Amino acid sequence: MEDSIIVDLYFQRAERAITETSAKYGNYCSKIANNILNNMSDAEECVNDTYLRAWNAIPPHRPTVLSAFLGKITRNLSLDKCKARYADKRADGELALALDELDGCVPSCWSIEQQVDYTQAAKEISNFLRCQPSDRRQVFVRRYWYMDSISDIANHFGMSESKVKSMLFRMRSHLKAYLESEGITI
Amino acid sequence: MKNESIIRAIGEIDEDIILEASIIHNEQNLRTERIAKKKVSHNARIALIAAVLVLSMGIMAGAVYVLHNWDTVFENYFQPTDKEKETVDSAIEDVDATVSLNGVTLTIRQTIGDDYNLYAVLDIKLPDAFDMSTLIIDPDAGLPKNEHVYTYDEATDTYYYVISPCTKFGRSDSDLYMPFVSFNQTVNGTEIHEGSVDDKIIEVDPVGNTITLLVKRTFTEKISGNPVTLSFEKLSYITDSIANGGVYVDVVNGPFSITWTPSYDCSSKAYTVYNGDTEIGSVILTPFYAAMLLDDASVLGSYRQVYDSIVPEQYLTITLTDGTIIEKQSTYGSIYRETVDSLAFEMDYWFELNKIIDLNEVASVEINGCTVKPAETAN
Repeated sequence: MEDSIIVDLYFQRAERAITETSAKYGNYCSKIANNILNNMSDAEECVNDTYLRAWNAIPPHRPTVLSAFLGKITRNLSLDKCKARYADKRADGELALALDELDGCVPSCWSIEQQVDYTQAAKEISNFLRCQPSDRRQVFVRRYWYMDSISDIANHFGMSESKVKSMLFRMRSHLKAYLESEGITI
Repeated sequence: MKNESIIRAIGEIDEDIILEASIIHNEQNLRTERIAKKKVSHNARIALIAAVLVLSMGIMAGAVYVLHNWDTVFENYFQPTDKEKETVDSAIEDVDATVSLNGVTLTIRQTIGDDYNLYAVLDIKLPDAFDMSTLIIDPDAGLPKNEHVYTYDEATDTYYYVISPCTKFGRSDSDLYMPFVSFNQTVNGTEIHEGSVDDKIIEVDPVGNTITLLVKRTFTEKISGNPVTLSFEKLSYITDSIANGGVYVDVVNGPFSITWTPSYDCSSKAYTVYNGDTEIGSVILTPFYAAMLLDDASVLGSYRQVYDSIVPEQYLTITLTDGTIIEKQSTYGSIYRETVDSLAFEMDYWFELNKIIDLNEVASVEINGCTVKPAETAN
């Protein structure tokens, strides 16, 4: 079913909107959640919460890209759950690895306690990514948005794992420099 | 959580960037694989019987090879014979790549190509809220002078303004937008501006709010096996030619971008161009394109006497073994000339052959009547 029809179902307050969303994007959301949580049961819970959030948000919101809209909700819910689960402890799975990798990427002016304006930072990160060749951009998004494993990314793009790692390393360095040059103090 | 800020900020990047790297296809493939695995066990007995049948039929009639089903746009454009379909079957791909943004959905249905050239059937579905009747040209008002601004739908006897993917053209934001030559094209993320462009609007579907394009592209970088991206800033139409005071009307803003990785296995044949005993360039033929790459174009033909200060046109003539002659006049490409008066210049031209040819049935190739011989090693 086309996304626009699914969104219309939400607007009509038809419960079928949920079943159609689940049929089309259930696996997609589960993959995102499980990449972050590394736990199928928790992931399933987050996916169900995603449908509820979508139900409450549409209407009035009409998502332009339904998959990205749902993915963002799943991602944020999964991060929230992960944060609650681990508190001060170290997360595991791909999230932990991704966090370690991004350690050197955060501009020195950021701090953990600082209330970050994600919107402005996201805009600059988007600008940075748009300046990158398509393959690098996709590799970056696969790793740090979808939290895909290095091996999955390497398989998908037909690259060696070491090439993916070096590509990500360079991009992180450039992103940090870019964010600092743009004065993202947030 | 350490570094939560950056992870959260990345989470809010633009949706088209998220979509470009989407894992949806992977998930759908996984699901298909799972279903396929289940079906294998259910159908094991049937498969066994089928295998025996195929084996016995194979002995009687030889192995059955299933060719691609051609998209109707390609069918109508090339009008290939069954033999021609077989000739280029490994060069055709069902892509079915789709992206959606701002209510616009782009779908590449099928492509056919070689290492440097491709044809693609591209559907552009406009936002549901957009009323395509606003594009209809009133016949009483007279048609715009520039034929590139309208298209005619034979089925409904209706003229529509052409909706074109438009990219900013020129040096500043206030410059014009060019329809039909407006896709940015990249291979492996690198912008490739060279090559020919001659996209055509094939169908306007006001019910489905969809426009179907036949996209025709050549590239100077190898495309087969590399991610190819077609992108554009916005969709708009022009009310008349610029000379007649036409203005551009935006339909929806992007930027829109669709990426896929073609994998064509297409034959090609190289020819060497001589002037007397001197090698001056090459011609490369594939079943649907010809590239003419000349290092010293000035010595060809008799135009030296006719054209002493302008760039001449070239004529590529392909004769098939059945006597069919395909003659193409150079219309676009790139020319390098040191000075205006210099008659020694480099010329690269690409010719769309408009039909599928079997390279084994090419009897001879000529450029302006000059000798063109098969190269010792084919590309």
